[in-house]
Amino acid sequence: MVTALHLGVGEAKYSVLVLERRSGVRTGVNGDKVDKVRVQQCLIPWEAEQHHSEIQERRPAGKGSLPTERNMSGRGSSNGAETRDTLPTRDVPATPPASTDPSAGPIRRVVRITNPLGLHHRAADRFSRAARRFACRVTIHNGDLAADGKNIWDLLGLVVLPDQEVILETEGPDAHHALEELATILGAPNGEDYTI
Amino acid sequence: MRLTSFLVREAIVPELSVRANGVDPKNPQQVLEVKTRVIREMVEALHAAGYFRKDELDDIVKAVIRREQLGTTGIGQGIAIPHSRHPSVHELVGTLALSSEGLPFDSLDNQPAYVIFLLVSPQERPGDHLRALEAIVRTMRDTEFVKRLRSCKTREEVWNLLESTAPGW
Repeated sequence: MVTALHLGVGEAKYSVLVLERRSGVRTGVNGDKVDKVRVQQCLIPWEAEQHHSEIQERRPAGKGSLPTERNMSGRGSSNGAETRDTLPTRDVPATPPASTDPSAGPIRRVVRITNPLGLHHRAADRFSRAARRFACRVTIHNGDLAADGKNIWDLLGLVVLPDQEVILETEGPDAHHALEELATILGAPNGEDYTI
Repeated sequence: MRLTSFLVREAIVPELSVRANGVDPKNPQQVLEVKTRVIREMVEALHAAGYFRKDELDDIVKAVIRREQLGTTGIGQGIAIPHSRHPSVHELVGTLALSSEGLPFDSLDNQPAYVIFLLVSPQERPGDHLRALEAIVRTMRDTEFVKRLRSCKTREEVWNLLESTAPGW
């Protein structure tokens, strides 16, 4: 399994190529079809990635797998939140993101909930208020359940426990910006008073 | 989790005594006073049902209000879920109160609250609290159910209706 994610560092563009076999051995970017690997991060120059745009991945279906089969791309996390980008759900050529193209597919990121109370009422309220500032669609997946990230009723229905991982998905014209900001809000403990 | 697994039957308040005549729903201080009276009535209902020591009541009301001041629990559609963690309980406990007139609760949709759930959770059991919230929002999404709930006049009617709900998580 492999993914190609994209980000800019200063003026340089990079692709985040992430390959790791179940054995724990990381693979290089060799263009071969690779199965049964997990995501880790390693930066390679953008140009190098272009030679390997045919790299594909397959992910088994079932509970906990990504819930849709649509093209996606993502970016590396630039914040301190407990997040990592995730993989396409079907054979997808690795192509650069079109962040201004509203017709582009959804982008996703796995986010670990570090709040010791889980995605509780206050955290869900904070997240949904932030999500409503964006034009893009915002969805949180918890296993087989999906919630509209702009709707606190939906979010409270997810029952996201502390230290659980969810998939944050955005789709639309400001999806990349939303993913960055909302992943931070979702993944950060925020220093609130946990005794209340 | 079923609503009836954490709501205390004997503490259900089928009609709150609190009224909000003359209260400006856009006046935060006045709304907070209404909330305080509602929460106190519900906490006292739990106490009358055998929960909490008398000397803990003020502290529990304060804790719930303190939580409320961090952000409203009026989630709209006539529903509010004031709650707090408190060391006085070892398992999640809650009650339900109805207001036929509706009360200002600084709700997300700026509408009055007619159905109010109070939850008091132990400090270290976030999962139960989250499942209780899920049970509430899942049940209250059913507008027909809420309509029937709001028409209940007695504790028994409320309880019998709640027992008909699905278990969920």
